[in-house]
Amino acid sequence: MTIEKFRYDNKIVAMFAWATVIWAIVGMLVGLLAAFQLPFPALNFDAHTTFGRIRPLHTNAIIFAFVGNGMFMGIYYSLQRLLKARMYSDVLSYIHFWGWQLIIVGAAITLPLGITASKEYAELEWPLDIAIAIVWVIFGINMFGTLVRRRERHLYVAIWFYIATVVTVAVLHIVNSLAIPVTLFKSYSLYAGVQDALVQWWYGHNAVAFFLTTPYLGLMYYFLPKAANRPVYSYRLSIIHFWSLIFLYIWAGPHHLLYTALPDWAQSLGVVFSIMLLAPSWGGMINGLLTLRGAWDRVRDNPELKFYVVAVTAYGMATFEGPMLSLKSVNAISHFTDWTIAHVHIGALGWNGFLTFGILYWLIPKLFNTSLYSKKLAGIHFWLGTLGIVFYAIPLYWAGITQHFMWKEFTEDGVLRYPNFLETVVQVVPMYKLRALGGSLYLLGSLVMVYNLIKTARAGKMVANEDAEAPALEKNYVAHDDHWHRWIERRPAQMLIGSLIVILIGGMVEIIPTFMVKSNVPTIASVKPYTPLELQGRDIYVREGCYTCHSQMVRPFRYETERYGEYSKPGEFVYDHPFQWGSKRTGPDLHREGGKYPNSWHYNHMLDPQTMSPGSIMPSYAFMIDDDLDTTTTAAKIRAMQKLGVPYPEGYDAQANKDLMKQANSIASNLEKDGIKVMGNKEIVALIAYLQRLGVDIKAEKTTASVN
Amino acid sequence: MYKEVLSTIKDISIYPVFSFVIFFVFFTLVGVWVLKSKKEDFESISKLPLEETND
Repeated sequence: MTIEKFRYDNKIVAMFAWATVIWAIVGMLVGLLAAFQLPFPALNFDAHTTFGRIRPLHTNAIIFAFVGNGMFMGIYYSLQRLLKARMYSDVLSYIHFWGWQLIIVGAAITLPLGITASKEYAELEWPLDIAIAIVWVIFGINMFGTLVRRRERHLYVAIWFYIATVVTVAVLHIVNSLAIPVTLFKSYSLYAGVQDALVQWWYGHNAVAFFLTTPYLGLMYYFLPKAANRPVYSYRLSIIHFWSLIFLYIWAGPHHLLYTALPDWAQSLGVVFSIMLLAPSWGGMINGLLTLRGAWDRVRDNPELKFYVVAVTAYGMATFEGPMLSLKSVNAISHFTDWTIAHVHIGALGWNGFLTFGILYWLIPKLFNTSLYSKKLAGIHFWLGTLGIVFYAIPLYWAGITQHFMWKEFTEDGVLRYPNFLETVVQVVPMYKLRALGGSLYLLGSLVMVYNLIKTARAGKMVANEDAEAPALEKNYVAHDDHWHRWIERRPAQMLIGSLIVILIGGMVEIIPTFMVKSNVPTIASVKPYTPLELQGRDIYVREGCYTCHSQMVRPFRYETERYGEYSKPGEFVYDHPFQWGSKRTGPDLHREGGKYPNSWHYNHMLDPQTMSPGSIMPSYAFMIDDDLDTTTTAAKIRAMQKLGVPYPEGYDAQANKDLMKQANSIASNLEKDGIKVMGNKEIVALIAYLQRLGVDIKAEKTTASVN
Repeated sequence: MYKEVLSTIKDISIYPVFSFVIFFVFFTLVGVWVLKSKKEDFESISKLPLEETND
């Protein structure tokens, strides 16, 4: 047997590690800004830094920049060692690295500019979407090339998780991002209304599953045994963990749409599979924690193990909470409230954050061939971080439950006790302040880590290429102990196809029937396409990220219909590319906003929300009064909508702007009656037109019905 | 309302049945195989992360 000499690429690992550290701080700072903007609306500064644009920037930075780079750091380190091979191609490694960082910079520029597709965690517009797909494929090629050249026959469980991640994220990203470009920075989702919502949350939930969970489980299965210096508690459990997790996750998306206009059977399917997810998730958590059996004494003076223990515990908490939240009765409480925000931060701060920190504390000394600068500082970071999580989550759980009960409380006379939504906002503002304190503690801890890691790196010298040696794989290998799973374990291609089939089955069964429903969605005759002005106004609504605080989905509860009006029907959204149901009500639902207030109210409210609604925490949108509406895109937008099947008459694109100005001028003259002088060509007019259109079509049908 | 909508789709009942069947079969197979396997089968594999060439 010949022993081959080769070198591990540590430089790429270090690059991803520093990128992780930098983006962690950036992402947290942006999150902190968003957190402070809620109790202190003055911090919304100008158009580019309103909460509606900052919040997507924060979520994208944390998920794709911080966790993304963290994932690549861990994968590039562990994959090489588990396969006893250098990465397939240095060039591909560096294209992957720089490509990913450029995409992040692209996101950091476009999102504050309001260039957004408005689909949560998939906000980036189509040119960046294409770039993501390309870089992801490069990462995949690099990974599979390494698999082909490996010197270890068996694929350790961590690698299965990596393979499933690569395959599934590609599928999710492509399917959800399908859109028709209108301009370089604007596209319309291929799907509308109910379909769009279903595809988005199939994606959204699986972004959590396959971007934040499966790769990190792979990292857990590698770095935790490494730090504890003992093999994983049960390898057999990890096989079950893997297959059941990827099989179940893919079905669970519809639990984000309970009580919405999504068909009942899809909701139930989402619930059932979400409940079942508890089993593999906890199997994985127990497997992680039990790996430490007999090594708990080491947790005391080993910083990375401390972080791992909290990370795995947070994983267990979040994956217990998740299935509970998908029970319809619990979801009725949590949905649209801050409970959801608390839940995801247990995952982000606890699971992803702490696992990443643990790996960094272990990896940086390793890469720089030295030991950690200060264990004491790492301990301080640990406690700041843990306290940060506590101060972050508890106030938001409190806020979420408070919101729900205030929203639904009736007086003895059978009317809402808090008919003014604002009362329920003012009540939770102190909780928002506490949450911002929690976030600050967490960030402070992370800054301590940055100092510690830089000091560590300075004390050592980077080993850019680490020497290693291993025997080459025998060419004609004959298996003697042919256990069934070995068949797939040895073959990355089969593993890829296996995981692909598993996730495609789930995805297709979930999505296809809804597409068949498309032709059967009860069309409401009175629901008409938006006028050109309303369409432009809607795009402003999308641009400003209004959906980050306002839902457009009245659920069929008495306390919602009482507050907002008729509950939302699937047929009302057939022209909504993309859907704007939202997932959070920091402000009230807007689906029945049309006709509720005069135009002048909206004008003054957008100019200065606090004068119209004292105590409101909404940012001012005064710039819309100054900014001209860009009507050069109208024709292209109408044509794109026609391509998507929206029934505008043939050749309507040519005269759309004429109709647009007509409607705009009538709104302007209506405003003038109330003493407001504004030109019809301002953005505010288009937005008012859209807001006044929201949810009114269905009322027209009622009037006709009663006349008949 | 949804029932009416969905009943207009041909053979809609096949979807939930199909998902249940493949789920059930899949889990039974994975479960049986894993339970049948011996712990020792995986001993060397589970030690893969612990191997270091130059520690």
